[in-house]
Amino acid sequence: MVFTLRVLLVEDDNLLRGLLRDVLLDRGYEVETASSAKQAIKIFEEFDPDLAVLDIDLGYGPTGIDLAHSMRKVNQSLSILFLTHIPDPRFAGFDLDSIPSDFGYLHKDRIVDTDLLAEAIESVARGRARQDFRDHSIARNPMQQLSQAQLEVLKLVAKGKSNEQIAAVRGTTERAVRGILARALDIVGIEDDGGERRVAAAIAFIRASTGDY
Amino acid sequence: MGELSHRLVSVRTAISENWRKLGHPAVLGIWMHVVSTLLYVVVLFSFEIPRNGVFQAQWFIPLLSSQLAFSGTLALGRFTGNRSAPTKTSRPFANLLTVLSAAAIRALVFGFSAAALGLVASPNYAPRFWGALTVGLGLTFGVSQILTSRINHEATVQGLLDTQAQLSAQQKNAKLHISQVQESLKRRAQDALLPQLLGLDRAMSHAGYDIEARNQIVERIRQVIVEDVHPLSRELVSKASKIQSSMKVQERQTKPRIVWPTTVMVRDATRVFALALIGLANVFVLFQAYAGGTWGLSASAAWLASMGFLALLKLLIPQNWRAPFYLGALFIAGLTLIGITPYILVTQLLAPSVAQLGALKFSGPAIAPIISVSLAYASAIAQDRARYEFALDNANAQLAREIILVEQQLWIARRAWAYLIHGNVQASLTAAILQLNRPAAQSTDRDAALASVQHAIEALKSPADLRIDLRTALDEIATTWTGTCDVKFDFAPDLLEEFGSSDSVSLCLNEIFKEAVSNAIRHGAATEVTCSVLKDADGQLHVRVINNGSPLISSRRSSMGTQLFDELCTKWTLSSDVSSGKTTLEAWVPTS
Repeated sequence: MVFTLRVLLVEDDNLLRGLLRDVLLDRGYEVETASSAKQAIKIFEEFDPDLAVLDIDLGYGPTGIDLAHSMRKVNQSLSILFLTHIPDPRFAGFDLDSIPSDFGYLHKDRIVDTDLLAEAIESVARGRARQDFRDHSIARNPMQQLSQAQLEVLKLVAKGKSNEQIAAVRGTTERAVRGILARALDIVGIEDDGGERRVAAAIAFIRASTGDY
Repeated sequence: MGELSHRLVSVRTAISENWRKLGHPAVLGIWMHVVSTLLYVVVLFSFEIPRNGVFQAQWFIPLLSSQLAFSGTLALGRFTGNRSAPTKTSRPFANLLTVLSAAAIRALVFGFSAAALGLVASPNYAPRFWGALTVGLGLTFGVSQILTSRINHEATVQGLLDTQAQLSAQQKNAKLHISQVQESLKRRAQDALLPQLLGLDRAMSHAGYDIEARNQIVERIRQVIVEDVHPLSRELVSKASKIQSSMKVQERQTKPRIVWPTTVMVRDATRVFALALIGLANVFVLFQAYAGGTWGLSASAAWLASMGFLALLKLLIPQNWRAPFYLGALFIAGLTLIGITPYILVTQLLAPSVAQLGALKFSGPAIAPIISVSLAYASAIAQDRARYEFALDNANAQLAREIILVEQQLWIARRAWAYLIHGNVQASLTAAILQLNRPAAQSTDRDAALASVQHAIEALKSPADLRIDLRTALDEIATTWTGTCDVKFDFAPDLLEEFGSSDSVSLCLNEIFKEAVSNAIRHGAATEVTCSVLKDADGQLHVRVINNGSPLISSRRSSMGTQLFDELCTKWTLSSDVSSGKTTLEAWVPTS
């Protein structure tokens, strides 16, 4: 008996959803699609998929990460592969723990190579996402080496807040903020060349984050 | 541990910020008492010691104790109260301490004064000493009322002005932030679409397009991004700019505009009337002292009775009661009579032979009007200051709300832009690449790819539909967590209708509920979540999300997830009730 992988594809863009569905069907998978979290939950209950390919940003509805956690509570053996434009889940308000080690995380830039997409699906379906299919953990930009606190302080700098205001928001002292910021700037590689380091830091953050920064 | 170290840092910051101010009221308090002490000392050394030939140290004990108590409690109240000044209602404990300190000051001053009078009255009764003491006490009390009122006002206003300075800085930041957002929307679109444009170029080359055709398409997309920021984002950014430019900062009022209504006169005269009863209590002390009895019990009873009378009057006379002027005058006259009575009683009935009655006769009628007028004056100033503080407080609240409204609009702009670029546009380009990359791409695939590219360009040029149906959106949240958590939305239908009619409100409420529910389930493992929203009197929406998940430490520390609340809400809190096992998120969302 030949085992056919059952894949639930959740993507809110109609065109991309249709194309990805065709790609997956061509590879011999059994595929069901949904355009929202609500629709996905309904199909999930009836279809009982082995693997879910989820877009994280599903528009104004619940996110793909919420959907993954909800489905995983019901079916603990469900494999999850995220397809997303978000380089780091922390930029979308999720901590890194939101992506367990068996989840795949593939940037949408890479899915134009359909072989690579299929390889990622196979890897995640086997229960262990290969490191090269976990894009959020690959140090593609220096921001990913920052701690949560450093990232938060940089975000506030990018919003034009002073050290005093950042200290007030974080409930800490200005001295502590200066320390966190100095270490963050060193990690990001912004040299103290007499120029305006804060502006450089803000630009670096804005460029590295997504539209939701 | 983290919470403890956070508190320690707060205490250390408070001390370093307030050490100058800490000395300020204490010095004033001591100054007031030094003046009155000098008056007593002059009287003692000029009359009593030469007359009795002995210095009685106990005369100073109550006086010095009251000074120390007064200064200490004033300083303590001022120190703790100052931290609460910027937002008077946000630190109830500090305010409570201030009120208790103020009560302690009054109790101690009058208690010790009564004791001092008792000591002085027997056995070395001296009318001049008593007269000087009474007038000195009245003057000190009046001056201290005015100065304390000024100190409190200065502290409160300073706090409010500090808050306003911070808000003004944020207002200016908002202007910078708006232009930053506008620029970054454009730049991010270029950055985000670059891989797709490169991929598209490769795929077109693979499908047999020549370089001219490829360049034409890629250049067209680039032009749309660079020259035309998405109309919707442009509209939202301009809306944010309008809110920002309409913000006004309340001008500082330099001098109090004193309005002295008869209401104040009457209210304060009644307070003094009650205080005058304490004077009567002292008369009983004198009676008893002369008759060889004990004074403590009757003095305490009279003290309590007069305080009760004062409380009753305060309760019966409403703050905004417009009392006729003659009533105030009548009270002052009555007070003067009350002030005279004990002296007549003491001097004429008990000690008719006592010499040197001049000072004593003068002190009685003088004390009542002095205290009454100084109290009324302090209250009149305080009333005007309270009005100013209220106006400043309101202006700050309004400014804070408007800053959040700007943030809301910018957030919506960023969200709409990101959704469009990363959704519709990026997806269309990826689709085009996939269509062109098909192993045996037909002319229909090429046509479809070109149609996808055209779709991306159209999406960039035309306004996106930002409206959401709030009812459907909330239903989607509840359905997503089916089987994991029971999510309920407890709204009055008319409120849901009203919120749903505003795009901004719908989007904000949807995001807040989405985030709050997700946090409660993913971090708190909640199995029941109830969401509700009410409209406050000031027009803000009061959102409440209650869950039965594991208690979370209430912390205002920012994090990437909670910054959504910082951007969309004027205030938010997270609290856990151990007894009921419920965790509650409360957030206040301003609406334009």
